[in-house]
Amino acid sequence: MANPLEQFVVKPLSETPIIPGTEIMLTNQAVWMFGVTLFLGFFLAFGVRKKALVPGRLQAFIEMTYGLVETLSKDIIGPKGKKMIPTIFALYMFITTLNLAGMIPGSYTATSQIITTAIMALTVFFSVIIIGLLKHGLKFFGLFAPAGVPLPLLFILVPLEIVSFFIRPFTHAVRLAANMMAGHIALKVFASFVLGFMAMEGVASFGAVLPFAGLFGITVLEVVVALLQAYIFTLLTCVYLSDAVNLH
Amino acid sequence: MEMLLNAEYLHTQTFWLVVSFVALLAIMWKFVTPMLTETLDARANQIREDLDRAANLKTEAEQMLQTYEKQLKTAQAEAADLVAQARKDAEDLAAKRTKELEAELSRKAEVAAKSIEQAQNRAMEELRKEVVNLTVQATEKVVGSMMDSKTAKKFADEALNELN
Repeated sequence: MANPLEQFVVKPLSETPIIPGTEIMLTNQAVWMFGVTLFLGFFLAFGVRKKALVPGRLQAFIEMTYGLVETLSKDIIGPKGKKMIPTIFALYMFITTLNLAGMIPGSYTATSQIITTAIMALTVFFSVIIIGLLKHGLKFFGLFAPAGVPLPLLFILVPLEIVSFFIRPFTHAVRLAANMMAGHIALKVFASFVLGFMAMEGVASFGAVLPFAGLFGITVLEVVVALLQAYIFTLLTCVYLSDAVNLH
Repeated sequence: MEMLLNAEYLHTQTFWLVVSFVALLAIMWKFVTPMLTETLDARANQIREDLDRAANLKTEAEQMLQTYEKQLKTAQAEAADLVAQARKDAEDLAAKRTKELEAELSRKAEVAAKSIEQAQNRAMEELRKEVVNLTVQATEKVVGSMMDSKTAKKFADEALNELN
């Protein structure tokens, strides 16, 4: 049986570094991320190239997807978040496409690597701090002391708020990466079960139908999880940005 | 460890993932894609209909605007006509009044002239009578005899005629 964790190994495609004298090499993860970025750029630009008033199917699809992110941002951040919608949309499309690309058998799921999600989560985290400080100055730290709380409670509440604030990038990153990783491990494990049954003698090998049904079910589930986790990551990004923009 | 890295096993594992994935794609293609395209087409149709309706409403509004402008122009023309008519009426009335006034004045002037003439005649008549009487008296004194009024009148007339 192949190790179900082997699919997550980051391998350089060749031993020659991209920048001579360093150890930066082109890995399978990087290739998938570049590929998805290029695909998204061309797909989106191609989809809306006509700028038709009455959209074709592809343009309508992109418009509806954009509308989804726009609604999310408007509901959570409000009108002040309008400037951020394109960035949030880019983040959403990037994660969704990476997740879905990971569903193709034999592909590499870049979002299952905590480093991928952590970079995005940390970008959101520092954006929140920078935008908050730029918009509200030192008042931004009032985020840790909710208004209308009696003074004795503040001694407990403020450290809690600070911890929960600084823990955000970790939970944000781990939630997506762990979900993607767990799903892909389950896929590989069920595929191994199919092989295990088939290796049996005689009628028992037909038992492979059962794990195959499970494999199919998990494939469906994983597509849903891929879409859902990208949405959740985007939603949490909106929630965190809302703190910076609206300050409660 | 040799078994774990065996390429043959890895390929067969991926093979089953491919089968499952392709089955999912087939189901999506058969059931989900039609629904999706339906939604997308419905959206396009909705937008097209909305645009058509908006265009229709625009033409309607433009027509309405034109009608109103036409009505406004007609109303303005009517108002101008009314003003012109009123002015003409007023001028006519004024002219008529002036004429009437002139006629009245000339009539009054005539009456006045007539009454002046009458007064003149009356005065003349009285003067004549007086002159006759004076003539009679004067002649009586000069001639010492009576003179009948007829003769006296004749003399008086002659004298008055000379006066005239």
